[in-house]
Amino acid sequence: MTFRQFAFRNVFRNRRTYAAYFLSSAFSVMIFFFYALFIFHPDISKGVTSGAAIQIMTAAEVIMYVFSFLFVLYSVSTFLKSRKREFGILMMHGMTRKQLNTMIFLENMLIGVASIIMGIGAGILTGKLFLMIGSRMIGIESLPFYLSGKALGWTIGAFLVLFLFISIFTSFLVRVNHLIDLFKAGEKPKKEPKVSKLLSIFSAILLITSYYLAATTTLENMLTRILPVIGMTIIGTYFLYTQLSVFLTKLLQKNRLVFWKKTNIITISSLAYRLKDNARMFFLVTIVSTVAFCAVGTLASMNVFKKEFIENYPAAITYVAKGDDPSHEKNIQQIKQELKEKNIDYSTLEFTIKFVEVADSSDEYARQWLPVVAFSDYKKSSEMAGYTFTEKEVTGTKSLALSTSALETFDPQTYTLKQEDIKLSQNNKTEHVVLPYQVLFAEGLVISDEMYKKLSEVRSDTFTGFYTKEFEQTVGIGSHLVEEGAAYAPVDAEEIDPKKYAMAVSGTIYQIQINMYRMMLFVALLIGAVFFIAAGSFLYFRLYADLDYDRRLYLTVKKVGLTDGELNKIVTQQLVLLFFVPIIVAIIHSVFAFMALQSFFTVSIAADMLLVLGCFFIAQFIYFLFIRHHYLRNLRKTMI
Amino acid sequence: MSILTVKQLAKIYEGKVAHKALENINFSIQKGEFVGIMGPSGSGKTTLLNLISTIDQPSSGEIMINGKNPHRLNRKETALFRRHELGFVFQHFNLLDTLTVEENIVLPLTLDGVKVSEMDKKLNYVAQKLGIDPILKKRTYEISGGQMQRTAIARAIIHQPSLLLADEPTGNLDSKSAKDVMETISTINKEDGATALMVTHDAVAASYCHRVIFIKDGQLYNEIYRGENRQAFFQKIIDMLALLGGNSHDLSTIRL
Repeated sequence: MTFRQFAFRNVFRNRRTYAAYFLSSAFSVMIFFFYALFIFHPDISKGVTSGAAIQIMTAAEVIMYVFSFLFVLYSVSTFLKSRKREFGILMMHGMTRKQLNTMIFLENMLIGVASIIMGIGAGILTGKLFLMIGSRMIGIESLPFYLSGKALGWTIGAFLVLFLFISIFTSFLVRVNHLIDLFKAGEKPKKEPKVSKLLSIFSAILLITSYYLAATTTLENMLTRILPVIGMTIIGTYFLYTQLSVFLTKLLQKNRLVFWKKTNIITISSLAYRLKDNARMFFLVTIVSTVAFCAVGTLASMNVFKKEFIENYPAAITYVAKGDDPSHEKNIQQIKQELKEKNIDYSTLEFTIKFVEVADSSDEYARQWLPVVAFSDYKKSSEMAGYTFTEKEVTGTKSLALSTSALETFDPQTYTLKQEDIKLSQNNKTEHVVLPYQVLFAEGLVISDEMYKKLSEVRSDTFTGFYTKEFEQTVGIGSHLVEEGAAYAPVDAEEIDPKKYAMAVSGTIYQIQINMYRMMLFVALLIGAVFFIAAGSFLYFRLYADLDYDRRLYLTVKKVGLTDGELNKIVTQQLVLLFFVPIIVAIIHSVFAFMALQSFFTVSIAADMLLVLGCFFIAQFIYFLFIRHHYLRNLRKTMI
Repeated sequence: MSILTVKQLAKIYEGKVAHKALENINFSIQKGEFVGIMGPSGSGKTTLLNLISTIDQPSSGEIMINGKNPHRLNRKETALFRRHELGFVFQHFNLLDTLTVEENIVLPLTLDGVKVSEMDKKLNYVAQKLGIDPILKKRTYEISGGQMQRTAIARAIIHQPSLLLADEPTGNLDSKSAKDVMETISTINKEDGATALMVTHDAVAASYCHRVIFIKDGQLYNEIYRGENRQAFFQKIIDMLALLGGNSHDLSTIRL
């Protein structure tokens, strides 16, 4: 047996311990490789959204890499901690520090290289499927499988560097000051976990505050709240596990009615130790799972997206001709022609948007020209879009702010017009969107019909809306008039516009946005899976590291007289704790995150979020059953 | 020639209450000698062995093994010193579960980078001597306690150390296995001239030694030599233990 063989056997024969870590690393390599395949695919530059897709995927690569780095670092250092006794024996037999480092290095590199090979192997086998799904998601033609050297090189290179760096670095994590400490590691009776009342209360306060802030978030304060809330949640979670939970168990122990009842005495007494010992792991699993849940959840809200989209684009195609554009009729005819070719049933509505001159306004951002629409036109357009119209008609100098997207907010304003010093007061907004923001950047008003007639305009634009139920069919219409579905109105209405029209084709815009969402969901799903599997691997390792200790504990208890059923019960309770405490905390965190997210949407996202969280929970439950089965079998092996 | 010399050795455990585990220990072991250390629980036997085996650092005093003081060496030299000069046998065997019996035995040679052919030669010699050649390919969980301890002995002597250290080698074994193990150590001591130092609770095991040193409360108490008759030596050890066991009048020393 040479030294190298020795290191190799150490890993190979301990494969059960390393299994979860190895598979999880290989999975990360595989996902990383998938993204690389996509990014370096020669045919990828085709298609509308692929540029954005590549950007998202590159971002995903970076996230994956950073996460893998932390994951491997944490796993390796936990492995090393559990092997102190083994290192002691080796050093007793004259292993030098250098040899120990070499051994650790070789072992880590072995697992690293094996997981790279495994990950890439699996990636090549399933790459075709990934490319198919990926290209469907971003709405381009299915990409043929192409194994680019660049993708291969990047993946191998990146992970080789990662494992190399960590292998070198972790060798220094083993501190051997006195051999005797290595030998006594694990033999010492565990000290009673200490808690601070102050920190426990602090943690509770932090969590409650951040939950409250998250639940009451509105669109305006989202940006200022997001960072403090995340920070407070992270710190609060850390102390929740290290302090608050132990504190609560101790309170429970003081209650003898509960504590001294049947098997509770074993379960609860080891609970405090287990919580404290695993606090860091619980913390990591919780944070990692929360990130996974939120990433997937956020993007799964895309179902809601369609409903919201329709609200923003009442007309399938909106065309606004500026002033007296000579090409107006021609373009309208062109659109009608294209709609006919596509066999789309549609109806049209036409009205005039007047631009009036403003002398003074309470709105400091107000422009000199103000677009106004007659109330009857607004009503007609809302009805055309399929809404039941319930709004009260505006009269006199009252007016409504013209909504250009469903999320828009408004402040009450007054506008003084140059014409006869008419003061228009605006203290509400239209319930429905009339003109999408693409065709009207400026603030606009809906005014009463009499007022509309009375006002003289400096310019008048003609709005033409094409309404249809099958708005998704309009994709590609007017492609020579618009870019990516929209020809934007100039920011200033007064500006002399080289383009004589503004236009929005909802089908095309919808497709672009939906593809983008799908792409992000796809990426988030994969990253979420990687995070989730990594969290599972933390749990798995924790369990096997504690197996020997548990065996001794249960053996002692069994000698005192514990039935098989009771043993099963205790073990199941312990495992439930290990598996579900972090997941449940993560779910609670996510629920509050989604509450904050809800402020982005006008339609409820609760159903989609429940589905996502439910799926994760079921996956965790299956994993729990699987591990419980193996764990109990393993434990019973040594029992009488 | 003395292999091990201990001079004025003391070990104090610092802490909330400083505890003198060992104090003023002096003795030496000649080449080829087989010495036992006995004493009641907490007398400092294992501490003494830990100091000699370089696992722990003495508070004061000097230990010379084969003319070298291992506590004066730097880390690397200490490791090499352990590798070449010392062999260890533990109560709990301390075999590596990931390795087979033969791999466990050749471990010290592996660390030293010895050629595989050389390792095989030495392995065969040791395995035959200890009667463990049929189990060489087995894993540690497939063999009995006695076999595990003989494997550990084989590992401790394969590199022909100057000093073999054993900490309760029979502590975890039944009487039959304990006898096998003690006879094995005895044989290597006789035939290969290996010098050995053993800490034990077991009077039977101690009766295989040439000389037994008794420690009580961290200080040398007495030492007795074997002479020719092992049975008589055993009786002497029992008497001494009875004397050490606290109040000497509790147990009358009846001679049979």
